Amino acid sequence: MIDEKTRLIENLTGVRSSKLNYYVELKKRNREIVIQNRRLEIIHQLGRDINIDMSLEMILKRVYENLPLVISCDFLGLVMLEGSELRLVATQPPMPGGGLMVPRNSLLWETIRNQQEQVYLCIAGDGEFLDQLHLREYELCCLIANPLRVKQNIIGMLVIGTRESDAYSRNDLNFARQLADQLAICIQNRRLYEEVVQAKREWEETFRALADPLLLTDLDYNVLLDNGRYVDSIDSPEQTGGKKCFRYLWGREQKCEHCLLDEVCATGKPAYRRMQTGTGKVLDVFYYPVFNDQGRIYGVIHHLKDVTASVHMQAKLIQSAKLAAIGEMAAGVAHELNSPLTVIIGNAQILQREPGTEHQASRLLKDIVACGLRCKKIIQNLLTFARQEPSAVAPTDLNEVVERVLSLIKYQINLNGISVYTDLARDLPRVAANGQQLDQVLINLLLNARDALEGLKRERYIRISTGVRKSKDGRFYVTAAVEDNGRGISPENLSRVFDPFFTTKEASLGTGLGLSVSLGIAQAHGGTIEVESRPGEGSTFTLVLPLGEDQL
Amino acid sequence: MSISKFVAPEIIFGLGALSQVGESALRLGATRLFVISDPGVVANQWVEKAIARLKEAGLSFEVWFEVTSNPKDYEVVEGVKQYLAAGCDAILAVGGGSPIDVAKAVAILATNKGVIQDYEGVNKITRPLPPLLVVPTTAGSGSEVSQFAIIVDTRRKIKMTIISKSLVPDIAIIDPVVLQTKDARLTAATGLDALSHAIESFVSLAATPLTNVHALNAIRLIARYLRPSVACRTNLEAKAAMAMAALQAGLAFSNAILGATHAMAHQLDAQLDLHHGETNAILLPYVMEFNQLACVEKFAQIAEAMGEDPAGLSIWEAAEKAIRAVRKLAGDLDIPEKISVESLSEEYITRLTQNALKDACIITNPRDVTERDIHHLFTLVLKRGRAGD
Repeated sequence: MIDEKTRLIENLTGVRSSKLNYYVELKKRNREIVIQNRRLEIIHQLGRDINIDMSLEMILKRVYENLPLVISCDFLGLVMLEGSELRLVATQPPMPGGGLMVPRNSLLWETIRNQQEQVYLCIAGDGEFLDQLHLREYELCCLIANPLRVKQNIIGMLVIGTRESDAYSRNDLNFARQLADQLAICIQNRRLYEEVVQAKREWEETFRALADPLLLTDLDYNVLLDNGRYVDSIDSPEQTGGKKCFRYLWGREQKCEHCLLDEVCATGKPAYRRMQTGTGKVLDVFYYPVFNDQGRIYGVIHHLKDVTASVHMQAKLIQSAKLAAIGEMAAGVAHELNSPLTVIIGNAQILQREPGTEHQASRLLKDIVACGLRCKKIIQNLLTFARQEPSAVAPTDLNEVVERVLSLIKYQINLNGISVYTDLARDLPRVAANGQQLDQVLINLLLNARDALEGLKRERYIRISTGVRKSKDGRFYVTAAVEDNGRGISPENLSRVFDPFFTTKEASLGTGLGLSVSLGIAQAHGGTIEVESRPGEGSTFTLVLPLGEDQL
Repeated sequence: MSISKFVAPEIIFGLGALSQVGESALRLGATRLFVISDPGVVANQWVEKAIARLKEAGLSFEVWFEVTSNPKDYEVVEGVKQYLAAGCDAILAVGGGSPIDVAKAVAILATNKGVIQDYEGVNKITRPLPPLLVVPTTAGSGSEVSQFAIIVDTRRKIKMTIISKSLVPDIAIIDPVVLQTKDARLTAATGLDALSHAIESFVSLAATPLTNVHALNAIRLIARYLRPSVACRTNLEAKAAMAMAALQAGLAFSNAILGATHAMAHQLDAQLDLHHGETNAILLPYVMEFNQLACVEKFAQIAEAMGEDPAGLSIWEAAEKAIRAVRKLAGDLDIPEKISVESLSEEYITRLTQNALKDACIITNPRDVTERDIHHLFTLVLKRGRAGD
């Protein structure tokens, strides 16, 4: 009673109190501000530091490094919702055997089910909650569980714990919530970023997987994007940055003459052209306009498609169809000629046997019979050549091919006043080949040689020589060379003579398919056709065919 | 009591001290003052003079003059609203106890949140208050030096006492010239109020040598100068002496607390709208008679301080003289002997008694009080009649 009264009097006279001091208040506020600043810094840093490469463990570690400065914190746990499971994916300090599944009856599940904002739990170290998550050894007394929210959905929880009891003020809880919100944004950004990068990567891979050159240029021919493919591997690839498409693709210093970029810009529609490269490739070039949000063209996609092979195939088809038709006609003509020839020869022979026809007449009859027989032989060969059944690959003597072909067209060549010489190798090994196709090649080479001599005033000749060649790698080849002393081929055309539809002759005279098809045949036999030429002096085309081991 | 404390603000005292108000505010770091006063003081131009000094010092200000006597909780609410809206950073109160108490309450809510009821009692304030300057215009309330603020809770119809060291103003400027404007009745009431402060704090259980010095000197000055001060407005010597008396009584009671007189007066103030000084003056002799048993020696000292000659008297007789001297002084100043109330019902007195027993001042009364004692004292002092007469 007396003590009580004393206490009351002490209260009234203020023995136990002093006037509150602004210096102390200021210091207190300053401390709060410093803590608040640190908190903002941590939240800010979270946004700045965390990038796509960081694992969730790393993210949590970064947060934990500075957290004890601003909030009582001995434990940090990140729980993520994965499908229908809740998993403790990371803890700080790290806990062995992470990835623990959160039991369905855990408080964390309850928080998510009830869509709660935040749960502050004072468990005084013996909660069932801790056991469920195997956290007993952290000896935590207080926990804050903050849902990580993205829009309306909870994607996980940030759990902050401390060994202190009754540790968290309203301020602390607010901060914890802000931290969780920021973390949620970071995690979500990381996910979105990953998705975007993944999608980008897939597109880039698709882009690069294309074998054809594909580039995006702006309207001033600058390459914005490319897939690292070139028209020819021999072209030296240059860095894309700031490069013009004509330099990138062709090494040119000016835009290509037939570029359709201007047309695409003008019409806003895709365009197409076919072109031939200096190395003989045939390219289909497609131009596709690219529009920006305002519907204005800001770039053009160039797609260069190498169609050389299909063009060659097409040429071959045309030629074979033509040859087939000619063959059929020739066979018909030959057949028609056969009967009158038989009559001519037969009648001439009957006259020869008539006695008394001497002198001049008998010599003339002999000529008629000989020429008639020669005609028959020519017709025979023509029929053989034109016969449609595909002859299979068989051991073939190139010399025989030469003789057979010459029998067909030598006369024609001689008619033009051109001498034909042959220089055939003896004991030429037979080569596995389709004789008919080789005939076709040689006919082609001979007719080309004749055309090359056309109209020249000097003495003209064609020399056909056969032989065997050994290459550096020790392989053997048989060769048949057709040499002429015609006008030759200019260097710029030399590389293109095998291109389909390339011709220097008048349209009525040539299709531009002969050499291309011939090269196709040679290549089908594993060989090639070589060409040498000196303008004004002549050319040599050589059919080169490899010999199998057993053919030597 | 082995440990005691004595607090006092920085005090600027003297004729013309009001001129210090601008510089004082500047020294406290104020830039924009919230000036609180009541219409009566404003009419006397003291506020105007104070504001002129603020302007001289280059300070800006916002005025608010809507304080009534026995300040109410809703007035505090309004004051804080104005203070915050005006963006002030210090408070200047010019006036009697009411504006100063309101200023203290506004200061509390300016930095501490909530409602004024939250701070009723001892040491409830948790944050420092804005700088507070006070210029008392009545000698007597003691609020200018005290750690108390009394605000009426209009819902509960009681006076709330707020006690905190933080309520001690930073600077009290006491200018006796200001006291000249009080009329005779107010001079008498405030002078007797100061006397009740001095006597009650002198005999208080919490009295200390430091408070006793001030209390006794206040009694001495009042006994000698209150009559001439009431008698003549322009008696500057008497006015200065009464200003000092009120100040010293204030220093004494704000540190030593009061007694049953004030515990009882607080109940009547809330009910009656009678001047607090007058109520105290009527109650004081009755309570002194009751307390005589406990502090006869101190009463003898009071008698001597009031100019009675103790020579040849027993200490008991000397003490009796103190009570008589108080009655005589009050009587000379036309203070009635009893308080008139409309109803003298048993329930009414019981309610007054119970509330008085809950009043903080009852604790330091020198004689233990029971419900019966207070009940008896109320029946002695109250009479049926028109309230306030």
